[in-house]
Amino acid sequence: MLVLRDVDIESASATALIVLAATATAAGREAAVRLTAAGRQVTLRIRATHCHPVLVDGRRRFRIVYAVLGPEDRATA
Amino acid sequence: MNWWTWRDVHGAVIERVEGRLLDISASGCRLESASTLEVGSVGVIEIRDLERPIAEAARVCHAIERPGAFARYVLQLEFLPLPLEHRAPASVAVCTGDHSVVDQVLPGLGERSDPSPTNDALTAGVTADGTAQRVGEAPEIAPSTPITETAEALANALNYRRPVTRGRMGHDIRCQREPSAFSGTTWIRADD
Repeated sequence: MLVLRDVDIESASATALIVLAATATAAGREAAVRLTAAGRQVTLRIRATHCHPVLVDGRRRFRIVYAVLGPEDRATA
Repeated sequence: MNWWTWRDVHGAVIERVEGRLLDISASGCRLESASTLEVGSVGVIEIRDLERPIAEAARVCHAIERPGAFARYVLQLEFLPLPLEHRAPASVAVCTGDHSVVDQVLPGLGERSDPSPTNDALTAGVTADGTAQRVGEAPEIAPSTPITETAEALANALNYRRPVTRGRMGHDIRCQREPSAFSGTTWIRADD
């Protein structure tokens, strides 16, 4: 199943993406992330490198560090 | 402008989760997986090992944990009214359905006139030793829930170009489950 999971972006750089997600993922798993902002969008190939639980507003969430492997398509302005 | 300099970024991770199909009906299916999914997540389920594969947009209704089982989670999914390119193979009978999405939440199937064992099985969980057990009621889904909007975003991300249709499902896949002669798969065959 290809599943879409909403995540909160904590920080982003050219090589890494740190997100807060509701469910965990295993280190080494590859996925894609679709980023949208003000009419722009880009889809990136990513690989999870770290995942650990954190408490956010009393709820358990997972901070996941992804390595950015590259874009799947070109960003649109 | 580089994407990492964008402000107010919204992110959606698209991940492939493998699972083994346990049951399927017109409105949903149940599969076991080593990974769990958040209830409410939407995605596209691809059912292989058929003459032609099926792809259906689906939403996770239940995620049941089975500690100690090899496939630790049982996921119950409902199909969404999102037409996809490869939705039903020719070998599967397709007829007009008259069930709204809300009516097709999995536990509601027991109230329908079709008392097929597949439908009954959809409301049950499976314990580690393989015996069935009842699970709780599915969360109520209001018609205003923006499921299709999320699914539409997913479909765009996956390059499914067909537009989203709201409202009724409009199709009914009839199939029956047979004991699997194939390791690790459940074989599904159309009506016969």
